[in-house]
Formats: sequence, C-alpha cells, structure tokens
Amino acid sequence: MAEARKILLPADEFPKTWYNIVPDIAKTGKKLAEPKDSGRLNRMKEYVAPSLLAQEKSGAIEVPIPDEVRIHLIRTGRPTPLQHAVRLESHLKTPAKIYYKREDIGYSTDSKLTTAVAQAYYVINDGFEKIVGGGGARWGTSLSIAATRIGLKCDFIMPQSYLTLKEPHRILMEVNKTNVFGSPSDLTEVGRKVKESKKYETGNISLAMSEAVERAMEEKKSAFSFGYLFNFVMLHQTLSGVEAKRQFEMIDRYPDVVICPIDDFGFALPFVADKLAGKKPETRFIVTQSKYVPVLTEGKLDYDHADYAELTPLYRFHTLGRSFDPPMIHAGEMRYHGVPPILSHLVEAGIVEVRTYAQTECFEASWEWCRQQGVIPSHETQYVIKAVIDEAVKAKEEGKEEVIVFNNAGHTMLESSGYLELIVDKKLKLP
Amino acid sequence: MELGRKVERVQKVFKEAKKKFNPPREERMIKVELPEDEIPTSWYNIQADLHKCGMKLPFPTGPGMANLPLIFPPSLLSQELTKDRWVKIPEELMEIYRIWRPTPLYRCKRLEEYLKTPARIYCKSEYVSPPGSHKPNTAVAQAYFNMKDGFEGVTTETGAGQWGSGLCFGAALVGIKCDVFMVRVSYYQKPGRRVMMESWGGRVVPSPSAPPERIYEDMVTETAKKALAEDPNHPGSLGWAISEAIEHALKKPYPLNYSLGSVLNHVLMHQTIVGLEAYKQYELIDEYPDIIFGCTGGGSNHCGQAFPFIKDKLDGKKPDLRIVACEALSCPRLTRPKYIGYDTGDTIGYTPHIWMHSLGCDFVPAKIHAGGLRYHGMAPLLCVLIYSGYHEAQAFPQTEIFEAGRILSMTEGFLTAPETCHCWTGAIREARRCAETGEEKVIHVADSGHGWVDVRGYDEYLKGKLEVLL
Repeated sequence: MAEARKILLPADEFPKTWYNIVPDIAKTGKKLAEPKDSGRLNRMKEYVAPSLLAQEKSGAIEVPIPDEVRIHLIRTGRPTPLQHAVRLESHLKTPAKIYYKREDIGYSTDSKLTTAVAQAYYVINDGFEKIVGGGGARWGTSLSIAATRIGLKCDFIMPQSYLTLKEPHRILMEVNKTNVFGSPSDLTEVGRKVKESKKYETGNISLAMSEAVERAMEEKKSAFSFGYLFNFVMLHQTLSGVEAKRQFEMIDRYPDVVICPIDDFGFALPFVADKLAGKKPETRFIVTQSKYVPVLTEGKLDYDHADYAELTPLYRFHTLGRSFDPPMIHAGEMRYHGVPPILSHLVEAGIVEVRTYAQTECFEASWEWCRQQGVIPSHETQYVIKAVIDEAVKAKEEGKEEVIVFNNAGHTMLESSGYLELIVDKKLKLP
Repeated sequence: MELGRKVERVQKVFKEAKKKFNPPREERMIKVELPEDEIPTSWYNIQADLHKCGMKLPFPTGPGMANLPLIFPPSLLSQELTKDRWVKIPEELMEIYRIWRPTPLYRCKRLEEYLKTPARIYCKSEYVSPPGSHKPNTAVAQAYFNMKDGFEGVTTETGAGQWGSGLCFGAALVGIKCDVFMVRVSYYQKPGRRVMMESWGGRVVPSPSAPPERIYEDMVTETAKKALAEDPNHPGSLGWAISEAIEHALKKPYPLNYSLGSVLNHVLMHQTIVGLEAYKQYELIDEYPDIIFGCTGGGSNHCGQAFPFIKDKLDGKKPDLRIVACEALSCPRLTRPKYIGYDTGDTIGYTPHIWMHSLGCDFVPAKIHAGGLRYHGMAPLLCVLIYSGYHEAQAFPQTEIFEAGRILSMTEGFLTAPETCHCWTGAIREARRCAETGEEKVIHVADSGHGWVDVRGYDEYLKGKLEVLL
C-alpha cells in the first residue's frame, strides 16, 4: 500500500486545548504591546463577551476548549484531513513534500467556523441574546452557521458591494436566519454620516466593523463579534495548527516551511511555538498579502484604531490608516487596513517573511493547482498557493527535500467573482 | 462481504477504546471514517445478481445501436455488458480516488433531536469531493478508460452543471481535454459552474448557439443550427444538448468520445464504490440500514449507494430492507410513468432504444430548481428492480423539499443541493412516522452533493416566491 494521501485524526484525538502564544511571545525579546486608550478599553466590556476579553489577556499557554464547543466542531466536520499533494509534486518535479490542511470540507466554506463557534458559545454563556458581526462575506457565513447552531440571534453587516458580488453568501446567511445589511447603511450613525459624505460607496471591512460595534453598543443584550485581529480570534484559529502538528507526528515528519494568508495566521502559531522554544529553529514562516493592500510592507507599525470610526481602542500593528479605502480586489477578507498585533510583532521580530503578490499571478498559480489537486481555492488561498508553488520550485533548484505545509482555508463555490471576471473578460480589472 | 484484516483491527481497537475511555456517545458517533487503504478495490456489478429478482435486463435495440462503438471506447462498452460480479479498479485510478475518498458516514443527531424521533439517521456525504458531488466517481473512471484506449478527449452535455464540472475535473486529473455543451439558460444563470469547468481546463459553450457566441469553432454543430432555426433565442434543453454532444463525438475533430453521467450500466457500477464504502462503515459500528433513500435523476447516485445493500436483499439475507428512490413530483417517471418500455435517451434519437420507465423522450419538464431530476427516463437496472417489486419510489413537490433543506441547514448546518433535498424529504417523513410509532429504524440517506453553487432556489423559498410546479 502506498503512503496515505490523507492523514486523518480520529475524533477522540481531537485537541482539548487551544495554544495561546501571548505568554510565549516574550521569548522574542520583547513583550506583546498592550492596547491603549483606557476609556475605550473599558467600554469594550459593554459589547464584547467578558470571557472573550479574559481570553484576550490570558496568561495560560494552553487554554481548554469547552466540551460543547468541541462537540459542535466535531459535528461540523472537524478534525479535517491533512492531505499530501502528490500530484502537484510530480507535476512540478520537485523534491519538496507539499501538505495541505483541508479546511474547505467543513460545513462552512472555510476555516473561520472554528472561532465563530467558540465566540458564539462564550457570547451565549455570558448572557447575551444576539450576536452582531461585521466583516467579509466568508466570516458572515461562518458566524451565521455558528449562531444558529448555538441558538443566538444574529445580525451581520458587510460591505455594500459584497451584497451583489457575493450574493450566494448572503443567501446562505439568510437561510441560517441572519439579517444581513450592507455597509454604509442607514442602521447606524456612522453609516448615515459616511453615506452623506458619498465616500466609501463600495464599503470596506473597517467601516463594517464600526457599524457593527455601534449597533452592538446601542442594542441591549447584543455582543459584537469579529473574525480577525484580536488575540482571542488567533487563539481559536490555532486549532487547525494543533491538529496539523499532531498529524505530522503521526507520519513522523515536521514542516520546514509554513505558509499562511494574512487573514488566517492562527494556523502557523503552534509551529511558531516550537521555533520560539528553540526546538525547531530552522522552520520558516511565510505570510502572503496583496499588492493592492500592502499592509505589512507599506503600512506603518504604530498605534491605530481597529475600526474606521474610532470606536475601538488603540492597537499596535502595521496599518495603512483606518481611513484607507482598499481597491476592489477579489480576496474580500484581505481588504482591511491592519493585521493582528501578534502577526505584526512576529514580522517585526523577523520570524515571519512577507510575500506580496498581484492578482493575476495568483490566479495562474491556482489554476495550475486545481488541475492537479482538484480543489478550486478561495480567493484568499490563491495567494498562499502562489507562494507554495514558488517555494516548491525553489526547492527543486536547490535540490532540497523540504516539507511545505499550508492551510487550504476555503473553497470558492460560493464566490467565484474573480474566476468569472477572468474567464469572461480574459483579464482582471486589477492585474 | 468479507472484512479486510485492517477493518477487523480497527474494529477491535474501536471496541477496546470504547470500553477504556467510554467517551460521550455524541463524540463517538458523529463521523464514521474509513482508513484510506480500505477504499474498495473493485466495483460491484449488479448484472451478475439481477436474475434473482425474477426478471432479465431487456437488451437495448434500435438504429442507435450502430452509434455506440463510435462514441464509446471499447473498455467502457465491455464494462457495460459484462456479467462479472466484481470489476477491479486499476491502481492509477485508485490513486486519484484517494484525493477525496473515502468519504465520511455522518450520524445526524441534531436532526433526530429536532424531529424528536427514535430513528437513527445516517448520511453518506459525497459533497467532500472537489466538485462537490458524487459525479467524479464515474467521471474520473470514464476519463481514465478513454485515455487508456488512446483517446485525447471527452465531450458531454450538462444541465445544471454538476455532471459537466465532474467530468472536467476527471479529465483534468487524467490529462485529457473536455468539451461541454451546457444548456443555454443555465450557462447564463449559473456562472459559478462555468467557472469550475473552465478552471479545470474544460471548454464550455452554451447549447444551442452559433459563432460568435460559440467561441470554439471546432465545436459548431448542425443540431445547433436546427435548433436556432426554430427559435433564434432558443433556451436550450438537455435533450438538445445530448444530441449536440453526440454529434460532436461522431464528427471527432480530434480523437474524442461521448461520456454520459448516469443511466448506463457502467456508470452505475462505478458509483457502487460509494455503497461499498458505506457497507464497510456500517460494519464498523455494528449497524445495518432498515431503509435507504436516494434521489434519482438518471439513477446513478441512488443506485451507487443502494446496490451493495440490494445485493443482500436479492440474496435473501435482508428481505425486509426497504429502498426508496425519490423524485420530483413534476417529473414523475417512476411513480406515474407514461409508459414502461423502449424509448430513446435523447430528443433527436442518436441513442439506442432503452427499456425503462419513461415520460416520453419529447417530455418537457417544469423548470424546477432540481435541474438534475428533469430527465424523462431512468436507468434500466433500477427500472427492472422497481418493476419486479424489489424497490419503491416516492415523489415530492418543490416547496416541501426546500423546507427539508432548510430544516437540515438549521440543524446539521450543511446546505444540500435541491436534488439531494428530495431524499432528505423522504427521510424526514419517515423519521416523523417513526416518532409516532416509536420504531427505532436506521435510515440511510444518499447525500449526493452540496448546494453552494445553486443557492438561488433557497432565496426564492425564503422570499416566498417559490412555485409548487406540478
């Protein structure tokens, strides 16, 4: 029998803890910068579940996953297989070993369901009745699925242009009884003001976030939820990394290169831990970003608000400025002006390399990928695949037998706007 | 069926673990996974056992028979006719199957709780394949045998797009070309499917159409001209598209063959890999289904999952097993056939006359969202089983199936295709009946695919605009 293509984790080995990197970060020589602005920090207690805020500052390295959350996650398709891309390897004739975590086969379209379920669980346990989310379409879909399962009401605010561009996502959210609004909207003061000024007509994630925060503050018993940026989100998202690490143990391998998109770096953190502890000093980490939203290379590393209307506290991260209006790239989740503080810190410490790609080259790479491995990747994952193929080709030139792993964070069945543009018009509006 | 050694070992470990840790039932039972080297290595061919139902499979006839050797490769034709019970899967093909197989068998506990039923509901989820349906099981096999017989491409028709995307996927992995004629309405309604097909390197054209709308010049057909002469804005239909694809295959601008996604015996045989896996998974957890539901368009999904279990019924081991084919009320071939006998598979009549339950080859079904169930005929193998009373059929209206899809989405969380919602409707009705009688039945659902690319039907249902369409 040939070597297994899929490494499956039995359900009873499903991780019992998340990995919290915050205490370990000090090993880089510097502590993670604390958020500032005590007034706004205090106000957060009104609209974010207290247990999540506690997790944000938690000093424990291993945070237990509540049983209910684990059962929900098992029932929605976890643990996911770690798959070996043998066909791509032989197509590229590379000695590198390419592995990918198939997060696309869960009930949601991507890996964000992990934090969505956890957030919904803490929100309902802390006595809230409703969850208000803001952000991209993928996050909305995951959140709506989690909210229905747990038994919360859900409102979701996403950029206006996504309502038509990513319509299937809207329908899926509505099937799950979520009210979906386009931002800038008439719901909130922030939205009305921006609408009057005729700016940001397509909407963007930081604006949607402001509106969601405002709505959560105004309405009683409703909590805000976000699928990005905060330490607790990163904490929940480590789950797929913890699983992958266990799966690598099963086949007696360890990755040399870990590649993640900018919006889903949690996957890499359990491997970063080994590097920080000095166990695996050689491992390389790569994060990919878009040429049109070059946060990590062009952004300033400074304190900034997480949202457009300055309702949230100040965080220290790479930022293009909260009023930055991102171009309409197809990778909707990447249209945000900042990155998680943890990622910023790791980039600053030189642990994580940054790769910047344009859209067209990523599409080409992903077509090469899907003709070998079959899975059509989401627009965010395309960037990672470009980097993976680059690394594999480099390994071939150097003759190194590297193990490359990445998180195949989602598929593109629900939103194929970019692929369609390329097929119909033969080229992308933004190359 | 004999258990492999590995299965025995897994079973043993499973039982020991059960005793040792005794984890909560919910965790243990959600997903029954099979190890990768337990993927069945042979397909099951029911033609070897069919005589046990008391009836022989009527042989196809008519002028279309002469076309068969021209549009199918020799190896698939011999699979179509073979009486061998087990047909070995080539190792290279197993390598491709390993990309997504084995698929999990899920226990739908939350749905059971919602329905307050003592019945246990299991589903075999085929949606984890990259194109998101059961179609690739036969698509990769057909592409592979075409490649082995020296052909450079395959061509086919597609309605809603599941089969077209499945075949493009198969052709891409095997390394041959794929030309698809997609029904014109769907071509513009479902851009997502087009994206998938073109991503896998397929060439897709609307059917019928003429240049410049038809971008590939070697794909121009006489059939399309005929259809366009009738109506320049012809919306297209599956019957016309099949005729176009067959004409394209007969013309052979390069060595290529026609490929069909359902109905034929060898297609059904390729799909039995699903049922054989499910059979092993049930053995792992010591269960056996009492009733099996599957939706039937041409029959391949349902038969693929049910045939290995029907074998037990034909052998007399499980005489009480019930198997139900679920279809749309607006296209009731099995429940209210126009006639049971010989009919052609397409509108123009390129195909042979096949013995089946039919609504007539010129039947125009209502435009329901479950496009895959809008076919006038049915697989002859399934028709024989139904005719001889080994099999049942039920039909459901469009509104009820979306209600079922909604219930499923709210409880289990996954969004099923409108076609698949039909069998869920059957299962939900049965589970409700069990709740009244208190029977602890084991219900198996052939969960054939997800509905992510076809969500518009749900939108109409939520807005109350959905028509019943009888």
